[in-house]
Amino acid sequence: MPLHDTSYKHWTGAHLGVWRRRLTIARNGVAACLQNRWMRHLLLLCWSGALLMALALFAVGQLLVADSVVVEWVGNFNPRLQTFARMLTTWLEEHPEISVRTTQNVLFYYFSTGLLKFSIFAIGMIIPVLITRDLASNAIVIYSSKAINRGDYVFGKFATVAGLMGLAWLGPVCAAWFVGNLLAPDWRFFWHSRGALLNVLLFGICGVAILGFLALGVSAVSSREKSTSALWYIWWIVGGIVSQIVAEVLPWLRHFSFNYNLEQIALSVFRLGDDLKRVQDNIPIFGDMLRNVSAETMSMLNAPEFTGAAVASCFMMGLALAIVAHRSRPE
Amino acid sequence: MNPIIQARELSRWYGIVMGLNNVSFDIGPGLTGLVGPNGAGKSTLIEIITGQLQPSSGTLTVFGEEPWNNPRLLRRIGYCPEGEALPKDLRPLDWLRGLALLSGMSRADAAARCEAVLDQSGLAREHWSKTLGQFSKGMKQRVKLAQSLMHHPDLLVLDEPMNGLDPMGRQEIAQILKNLAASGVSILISSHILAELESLCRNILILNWGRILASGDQRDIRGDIRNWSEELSISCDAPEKLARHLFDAGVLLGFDLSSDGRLHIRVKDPQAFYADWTRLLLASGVQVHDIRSQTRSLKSIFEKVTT
Amino acid sequence: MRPGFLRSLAGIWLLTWRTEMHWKRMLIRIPGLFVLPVLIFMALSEAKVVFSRTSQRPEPAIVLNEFAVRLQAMNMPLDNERLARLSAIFHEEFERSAARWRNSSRLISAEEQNAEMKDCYDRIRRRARTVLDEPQFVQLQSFINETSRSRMARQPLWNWTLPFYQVLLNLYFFLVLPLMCVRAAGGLIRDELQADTLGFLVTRPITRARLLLAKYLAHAGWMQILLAIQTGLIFAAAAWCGVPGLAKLLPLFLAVQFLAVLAWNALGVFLGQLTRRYIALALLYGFVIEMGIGRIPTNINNLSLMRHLKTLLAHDAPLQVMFEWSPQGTPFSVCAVLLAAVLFVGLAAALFTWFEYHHRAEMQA
Repeated sequence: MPLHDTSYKHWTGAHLGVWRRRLTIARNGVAACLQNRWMRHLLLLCWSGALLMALALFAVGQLLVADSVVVEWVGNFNPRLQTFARMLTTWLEEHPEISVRTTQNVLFYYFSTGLLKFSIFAIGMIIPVLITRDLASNAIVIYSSKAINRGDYVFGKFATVAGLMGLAWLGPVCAAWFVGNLLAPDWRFFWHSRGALLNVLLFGICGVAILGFLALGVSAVSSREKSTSALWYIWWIVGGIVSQIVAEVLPWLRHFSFNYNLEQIALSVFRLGDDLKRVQDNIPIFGDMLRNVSAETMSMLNAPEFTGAAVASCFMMGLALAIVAHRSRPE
Repeated sequence: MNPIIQARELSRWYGIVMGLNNVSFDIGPGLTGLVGPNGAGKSTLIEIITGQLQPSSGTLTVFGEEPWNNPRLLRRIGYCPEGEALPKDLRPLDWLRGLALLSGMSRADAAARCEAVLDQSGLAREHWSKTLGQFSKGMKQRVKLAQSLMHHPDLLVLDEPMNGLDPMGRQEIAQILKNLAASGVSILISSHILAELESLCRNILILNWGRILASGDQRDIRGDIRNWSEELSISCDAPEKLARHLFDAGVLLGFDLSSDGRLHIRVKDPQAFYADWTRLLLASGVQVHDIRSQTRSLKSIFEKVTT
Repeated sequence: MRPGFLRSLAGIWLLTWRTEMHWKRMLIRIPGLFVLPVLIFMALSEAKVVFSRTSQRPEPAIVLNEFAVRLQAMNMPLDNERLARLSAIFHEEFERSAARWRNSSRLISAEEQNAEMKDCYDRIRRRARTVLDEPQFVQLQSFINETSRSRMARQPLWNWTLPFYQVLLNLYFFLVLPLMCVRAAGGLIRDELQADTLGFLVTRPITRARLLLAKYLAHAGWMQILLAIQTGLIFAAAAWCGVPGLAKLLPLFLAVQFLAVLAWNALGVFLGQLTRRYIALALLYGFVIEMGIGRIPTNINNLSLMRHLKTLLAHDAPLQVMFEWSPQGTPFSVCAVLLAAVLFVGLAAALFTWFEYHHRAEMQA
């Protein structure tokens, strides 16, 4: 038969599941992020910080061992301090919930919140990659012609942000925990520090969810890369300043800053007030030194504004989602 | 006659990529076409002529002066770029007025001249109240042409001016350009629509891979091309008989009979054939209805030169 | 046809304000102008309530209790009658001091507070002489000396007008204004380049340097108008709330803002010519020069624009008190700011004249 059937032929091969398609969007997004060399430098910095944190945990662990290298090294500078350290060591060995759990909780609080700043900076760099460029190049129309819906598209983009935050934030923190405890003098460090890890993961999940949605929302506001990138950084900086200015007169307005909300959530998750009280009540000398902590600081540690932060974050996430849903329509 | 544009050993590279490769040419007054495939270097050449790029080596002068950062020369040049990009939030008159003031016109002159060039370029008045972002491709093309004509240039450089225009629009623009050329304005047009250039321009400049392959009168270029085989299409009573006769006369390279009864022949020596063809056709005894040349077009020149 | 610079400037000005006055931009810009005034209005309204509720003076009962405990420890306890009389003296004198600044709407500097507390304690000392016996009085004198030193004020007394100054300066003048100017000015050539419309301008009969200068002046002019309106609205909100001293501050502020806008726009234009990532470079400049070098208390801080702007603003008394700025060297600061503007624009013009700024290269970068 000289003439062949030229009518449309459907693909008869194997179809990938929807999760594979979503992950394809995420994978391409993360790959696009990593093409920026400054992003790679930033990630290197984050993982270097993780290495330093692991070494710090190693040093702290060594302080709990009576005849450790660190204690010997301290003795070269101050023999009295060395004697004190040996006394403290014995006591701390008998109270691992304080020596390991409290110490690591406090250290990981500062490490997590510190590394979060780098994450927020990194998100600002990838904002254009998320939805902005798709809006500018009309790629939304292309996406909508494929076997994915808007929800899949948004999920894929959210997974891009989550992937980046995993590389820049959660990954280094979890790696620091693992390596730090691996270098600890005893396997029981893993068990006693599980609270710190759980806090890190809980705070991390909250942070990824909040920042992920906010980043998508900001990215969908405009099709101009400079505008969306600038909007993210300006919100971060201005939010921080506004929250300081109105702290006494309009305390609810502090929740305009996503950074402030995340700080309150971190304080609620890590419960530093409990750790501080535990140290004050149980550890001699250190506890007395910490009794002079100001009332204001104690109030902040013991009663963080979790409710306000949660409500404000949910509101902002809802608004961001509404913006994304509106802007990602193909027409 | 003094050339308008003169290039001597002009080169321009972007990193390791050669945009223009040691080209030398003269472009005289009148209408000149710039022809070349994508990536040939046409836009690079135009941007050097209009003072947006500097040569990496060699020289290019327009009216005897180098164009880079030369306001005195730029006053005499009008430029219509290829891209569709226009300030989308402005209305055409506002934009043209701003450019007119920037070109040195007084406010009164600018206002009058802007309306005149918009009328001249054929943009209907009902569209004047829209912003440029709302314009179609063709309307944008007309506005771009209008801004290039505003300050009465002596040289008009047009990069793909017919893009997006319908056939009637192209005809209008072509007529405008012919009128301008007749009034003494020199015009350099780059275009992919070879049929339009063929009718507009006698002189052409063919570029490929950053090099000038041919320049000058179309007929002269054709004559210079070696092994030029002329293709003709003949409608006659007895195409097989005519083909056999011409083949026996030794003037054919080949022939083909199409389904519509036309005889398509390729002749070895076009000049000799044309000198003798009346006698050949009479001697064949075949009644000929019409005869057309397939290879007298700019397209065929372009194909021959670039392959 | 002779394209003079003024005519070119008129052309660029027409293109600038026509673009900026587009209804879509106005839809965002006009509400945006009211964000800071509304924030100030809300903050000041709340601040008045907070200020009237909280005490701004040290508690006399606490101070007296400390003295009583001290005497007890030295076996010189106060009997009930002396305690009551001394308590009355402390309360009356502290109240007299507090009344001085309770209803004041101007900022009270740390020096003023410390001077007033010294007077207060002197009055207490004089009156207590008739109440206490000699050893107790000696202890009172030494107690007052120690208390004065430990309770010395180090910053201005919190006042309900403070949020206005914090929003006006920390947020608006030193953050929002520079960011807006640098962001917009940096895109003067870059945005045209990326939109592929620069060709229409550079092929006009005007030198590239003049083109850039015309764009800078037109854009700076537009920003002056916009920011003057913003400043006016901010001051209107503050005046509505009753902040005093605004009539003196506003002309000074507008004059300093005029210079600031010129300088920040110039910086933005220069950074925009240097790199397409000019926002990142601007942030780096801000951290290193303005927040770093600008705070070093040596001559090197003259490199900071903010340091000079603070000098100019220090001619307003409340700002002097609140931020401890000095108006010394005002002519030098004015010249420095203008010189910075001229220098940045000159460098930008030079870069624009020497380099091509090509669309294809820009998009490939």
